[in-house]
Amino acid sequence: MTWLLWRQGRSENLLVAAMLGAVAAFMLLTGANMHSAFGSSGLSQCTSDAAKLPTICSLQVNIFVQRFDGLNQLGPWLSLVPGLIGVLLATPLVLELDQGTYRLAWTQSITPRRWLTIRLALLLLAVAVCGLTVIALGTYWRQPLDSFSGRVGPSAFDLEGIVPIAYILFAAAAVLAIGAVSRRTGLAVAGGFGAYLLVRLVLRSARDKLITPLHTLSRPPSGPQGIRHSWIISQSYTMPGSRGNAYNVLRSCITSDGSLDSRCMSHHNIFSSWTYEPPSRFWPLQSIEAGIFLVLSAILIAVAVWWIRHRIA
Amino acid sequence: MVQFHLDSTSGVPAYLQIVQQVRQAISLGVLRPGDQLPTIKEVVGSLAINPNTVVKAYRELDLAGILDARRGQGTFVSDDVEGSPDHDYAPLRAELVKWLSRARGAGLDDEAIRALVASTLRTELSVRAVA
Amino acid sequence: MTVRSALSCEGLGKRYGSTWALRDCTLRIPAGSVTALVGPNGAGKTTLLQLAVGMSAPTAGEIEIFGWSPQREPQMVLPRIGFVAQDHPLYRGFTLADMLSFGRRLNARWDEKLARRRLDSLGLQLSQRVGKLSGGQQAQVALTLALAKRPELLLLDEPAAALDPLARREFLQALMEGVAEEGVTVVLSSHILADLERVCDHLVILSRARVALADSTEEIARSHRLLTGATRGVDEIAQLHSVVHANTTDRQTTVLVRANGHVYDSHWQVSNVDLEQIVLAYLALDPVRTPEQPVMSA
Repeated sequence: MTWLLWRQGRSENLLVAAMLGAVAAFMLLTGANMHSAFGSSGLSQCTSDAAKLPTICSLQVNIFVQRFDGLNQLGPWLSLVPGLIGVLLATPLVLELDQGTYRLAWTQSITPRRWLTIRLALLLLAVAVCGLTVIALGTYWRQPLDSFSGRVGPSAFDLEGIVPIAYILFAAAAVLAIGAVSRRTGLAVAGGFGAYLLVRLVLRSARDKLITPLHTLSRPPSGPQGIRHSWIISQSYTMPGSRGNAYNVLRSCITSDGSLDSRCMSHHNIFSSWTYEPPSRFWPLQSIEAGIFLVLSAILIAVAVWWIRHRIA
Repeated sequence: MVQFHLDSTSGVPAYLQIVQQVRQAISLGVLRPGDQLPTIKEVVGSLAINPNTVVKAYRELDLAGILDARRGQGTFVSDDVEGSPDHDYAPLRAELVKWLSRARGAGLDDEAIRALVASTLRTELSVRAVA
Repeated sequence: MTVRSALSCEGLGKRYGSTWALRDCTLRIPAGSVTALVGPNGAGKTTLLQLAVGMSAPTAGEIEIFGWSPQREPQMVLPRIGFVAQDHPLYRGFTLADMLSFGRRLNARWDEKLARRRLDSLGLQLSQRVGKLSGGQQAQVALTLALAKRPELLLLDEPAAALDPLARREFLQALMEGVAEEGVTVVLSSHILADLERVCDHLVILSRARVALADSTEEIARSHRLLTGATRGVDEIAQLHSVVHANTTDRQTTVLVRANGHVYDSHWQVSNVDLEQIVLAYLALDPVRTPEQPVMSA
């Protein structure tokens, strides 16, 4: 039956392979570029969490980040990839239901139950393989930038850890559920992808509420321990204990070259207020978000399986 | 090779039509003693009828001694069958000619005569079947 | 003599939501027969066939294929049956070579030579794509796949419904050749009555989810009579024989009965009825309608 799954889903499987291939080519090429630029600029000394870095770092890091900033802009587009992969992996099964070929497949010598079990098992395997590929590529690609800014921030978080597998699974599960109930491929693909986008957006904006972020004050220009590799949700200036607006006072602390004078700020009792998720929150946040997607996927797959076994004939 | 045809409007059962057509073919000399008849598969493939129909027809002809079913080889016309010579029917034919002239005298045209023959055959057939 | 039943069901029923698609179905289809399953759309033909191949589970009653339950022992039933669903589904993007590969890999018992021989005699090349074939050719390919499984029971759901008369004729020819060659039991459902009499030796009439009649065509023809007479009531005749359908005009009454022995009543002229008229009468349509209108509406 594996031959059938390959042959029947050939177009979709090739599209997935092409997509992953394109992403891989992009990430490996630009990633190699970044890795070599990182190495040759001697930036490894600028990656630690120490309170004070060599002075040359702030300039060099800025140059590096500016140079590869364009890649950062691709973040939103890269978010579509797991959704597209998941949709494509689930489409062949929905096509069988839509075009009625399941009536052919169920009356050879394989029982309907076995057909469904094998299809789902191979689908899950494909999801895992594609997910791990995305994670491997993403982790390699992000590695130089992550060494400055950590993995908890959104542009890195979505490509590393375990959530990419959960994203792909959810998209596939949504397509399966809609496809099983409606038996219309177009509707399943559009609806499934739409559901993926919606839930991704919701969870993306709720991510900082999954675990309550830390709030700290610090004396500028330094930040709290590990702030460099944290996900900075917000940062502002405040004058604790005073009713005045810190920003009005801040104006008086601007030096001639446009930067802020830290002694002036200290004199006026201006503090930095940070809301952030520290690096230690990476795996907890990954687990919670992946867990949510997994539970939703399990429900959707259960709906699809029930519908296929009891309503489709 | 003899070709069978079926008239589904005649009211005559399919297997009987085949029996009749075999007999006719023999009397007309289209089939001669020792000739092989089409296989069941061939008949069924050209007429789209149930194979049992052909089996029944061949079996009846076999029992009547007209056909010879040889295992593994096929069905053949019996060697000791004679195409019924035409002159056996001469008295019947003469009677028919007389009847026809009476029917024409009564005002029946060809169409009416055929209808009368067909309906009489049908009722006669049904009487025989029910009996 | 007990003939082994290819398909037997006892009180079989299937309900979808609050509607019964099939009810109280009790049948014995003997092995080696060619059975027509007739009835209007929605009568339960597809439901019965799907229950037979294990695609759905009964809500009530039992069904057995050669003694096995398609629901509980599908691994015993599936290899023994060949099924062509309505609209003869095939993988449209596959070539014919792919379709044969499909059959070969998914079935333990597969006659590749038979399949190739049939496709060859149909004038089809293995490199042709299924989606590019005509409806008649696709139906033939679907039949080929089912026959190459070497099944003992072949189930066809409206196999010729969408075909033109020539394609339909060719399909039935091929089917009968398959029966002559393999001795397979055939159950084919249809709402088109033409040609049924020559192809089938058993008939099951389904109407409104119930079995109206199930018997051999020989027995049906032998036992049904059309009675015509001057306009009169049917109560008298109904006491002796089973009235299927009666039609009265101001001059004439026509009654179709399933006779209990010989019909002796002199008030009626008794004649035989052909299968088509019997089927139409059981489906509560005018039995005196001309055979040129074979398609029944629900």
